[in-house]
Amino acid sequence: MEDAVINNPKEGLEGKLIFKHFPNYAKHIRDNYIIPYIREQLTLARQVNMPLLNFFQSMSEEEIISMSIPSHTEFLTAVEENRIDEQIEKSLKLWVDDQMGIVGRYDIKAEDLTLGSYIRKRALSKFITTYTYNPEEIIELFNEIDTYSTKSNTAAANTYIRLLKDKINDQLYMIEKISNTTPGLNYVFSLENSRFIFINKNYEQFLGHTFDELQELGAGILAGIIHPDDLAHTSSILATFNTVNDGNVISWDLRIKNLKGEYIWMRNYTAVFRRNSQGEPVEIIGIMLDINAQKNTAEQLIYQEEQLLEAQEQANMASYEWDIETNELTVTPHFLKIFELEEGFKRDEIVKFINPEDIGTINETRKNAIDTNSSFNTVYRYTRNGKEKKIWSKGIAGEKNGKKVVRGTVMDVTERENMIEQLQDSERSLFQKNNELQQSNASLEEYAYVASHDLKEPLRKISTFGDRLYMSQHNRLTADGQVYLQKIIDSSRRMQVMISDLLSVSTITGNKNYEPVNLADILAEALQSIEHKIEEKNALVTYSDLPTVHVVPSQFRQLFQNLINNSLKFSQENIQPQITVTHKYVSYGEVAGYGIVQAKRYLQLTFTDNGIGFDNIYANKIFTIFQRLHGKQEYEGTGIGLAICKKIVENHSGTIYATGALNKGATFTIIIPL
Amino acid sequence: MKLTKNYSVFIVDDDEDDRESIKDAFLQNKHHYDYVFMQNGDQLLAYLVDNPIPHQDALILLDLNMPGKSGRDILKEIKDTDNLKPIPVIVLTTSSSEKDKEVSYQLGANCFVTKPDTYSDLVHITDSIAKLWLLPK
Repeated sequence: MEDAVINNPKEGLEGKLIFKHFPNYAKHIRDNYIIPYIREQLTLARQVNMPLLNFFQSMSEEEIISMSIPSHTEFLTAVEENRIDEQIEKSLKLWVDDQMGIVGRYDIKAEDLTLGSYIRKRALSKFITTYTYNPEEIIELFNEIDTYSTKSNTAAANTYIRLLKDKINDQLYMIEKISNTTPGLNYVFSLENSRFIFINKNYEQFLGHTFDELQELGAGILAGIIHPDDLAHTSSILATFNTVNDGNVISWDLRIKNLKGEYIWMRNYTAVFRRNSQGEPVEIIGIMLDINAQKNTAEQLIYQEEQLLEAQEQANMASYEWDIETNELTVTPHFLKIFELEEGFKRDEIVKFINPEDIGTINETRKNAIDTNSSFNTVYRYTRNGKEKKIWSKGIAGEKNGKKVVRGTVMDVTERENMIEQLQDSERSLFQKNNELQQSNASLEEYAYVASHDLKEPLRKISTFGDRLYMSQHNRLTADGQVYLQKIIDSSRRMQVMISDLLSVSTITGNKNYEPVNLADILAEALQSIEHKIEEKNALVTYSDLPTVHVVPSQFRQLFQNLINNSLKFSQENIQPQITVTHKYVSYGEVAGYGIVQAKRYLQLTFTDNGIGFDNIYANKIFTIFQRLHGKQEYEGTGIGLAICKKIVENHSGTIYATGALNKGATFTIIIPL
Repeated sequence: MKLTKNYSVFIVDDDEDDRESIKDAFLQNKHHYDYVFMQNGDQLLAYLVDNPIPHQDALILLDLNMPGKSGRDILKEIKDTDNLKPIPVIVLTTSSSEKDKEVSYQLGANCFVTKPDTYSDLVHITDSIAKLWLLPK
């Protein structure tokens, strides 16, 4: 045994193992006892119930043995050749690389390692007595086997731990990854000392604090990041964790301050994470999700709903949803007020107080709407507590979650309907009055026409027979008699003229045969027809270009003629009569005071003369029929001319007025809407 | 100027005074014809049917406003009837309305005259009518 090298295990762990007896012994086993050697290991493994055996349950003992021969032969050969380190390394590499066939990398348990070492040692030791009886050699061999076993065991344990670490790191990495990619904040919070044990990366982005900064807040952390209004609520919820089962998730909403200092609505889902030995929760785990958008929308919705309800109340209006199958009504608060109902009413209660005359229509319209998924719109009378209300009900039938429903609004329109009725009443009476007025106007004109026609007959006879009497008998009359007869004849003629005038005035209104005519042409025609008078008076009529407008041509010819005639008639002696006709356009604002119909634009015509004029106090009087400012002896005529002018202008929805001063001329202004 | 031939002047007017006045006015200038008074148009039409006379021997002075058939209706019937059509019809009416005048001429009136306000005018008018009527004779 002089050259024997027995490495101590410690030394062997660091250096290379060189054995003295073990190689030959290994050869001996391989060559003579390979199968008993393997069988011995299998038997031992069965005895100690090695977990790894589970993977070979489906195989018979012989199958396992024959399957194992190559690897054991390889092992024993490696020992024989003193390559034991290489062999350990090789087998561990197969393990780490997960190339062990049926057995997976993580299938090997700690038990397998310790038991495996024991089994191998026992199996290796079993055949020593077949190899040598030399006690020293036996002892050395035992030592060498032990050394190998220790090294192999240590290496396996290291590998096992390394694999375990890798596995844990993998899991940790995955957890961190999941946590950091989860929306919202994941955390573990210690209830004992009000600290975050863990919080995912999102937190930094969200709050702008690092984990360390957060820890510095210490016990004041909740107050530091939770909205003051949500703090008490949150604390009370945290307190309830004492009575919460592990599986229960508690959820509540709270506002958390972000890095900009804004409070963001978060929904918090939290469960107990760890308890102490007394079973009290010491840590909670949770996730907080950003629900700010939803919360704001919800808040806005609530606000809008409040506004809607307020508006409904202001408008004496309410909305409802009517479930056709159950006949149930879901209503807004004001509904109860409108129908004077108590909470929990039934639809039949409303129907009971509806005017029976309206029930038929209501049933019919509702049925039709429901049958055809269409809308209805009705007003009905509702009398409860002795007061009749008018309810305007609009609705549309449709489906909600597969159920037939009618959604709609009701409005108390009692006041409005009453006002409309009153308005309609007054409209009706106005219409009636207007009709009566029109009729009376028409009959008045007809009356004037007929009367003047019929009046003419006897007058003509007075005149005719007066005339005959004068012609045939005037020699027999006294001078006085002749004068009287002449007065009768004159008067009757004068009256005939007046009746004709009256007749002509009565036919002006109603003639609306408007044509586009140039007023300068019309004026020229009017001047033509009174040419002799103009010449006689040596008058000067000046006018510029006049526009083309829609009027009744014959009436405007008459109008111009009458105005010029009037000016000629009341010209001053010894002064050449001068008449100037001008025009301009004016707006409603300038003429509104004259009680004229509203139009975009008006034409204003003025006839200005240098005649005797008149005192302005008579400005209105001069347009009255048969009204004269002067005696019959001074100026002839019945006083119809200007009355006709007024009537013509009024027939054109216009107005005419005169201004003047004694001996300083007069101005006649005509305004007609265009 | 007295004519032996029996000419007929039909004065159709519901007003008796007017009928007489018109006749008197004619006579004022010694136009002596057979003056036939008719109170309405139906009488005239019936007479003309019963007593056919050569159209050149007849003259009709027709009032427009009469009870029963109006002067317009009569005028239309005369002018629509072949053997009556040539008889001159002078509308002599109280009306001075343009419309009456227009309608009368449209229906075939030979002249439209508004009854004058004085008798002397009526005398002038009747004289002119008679002279015009007698021209071709």
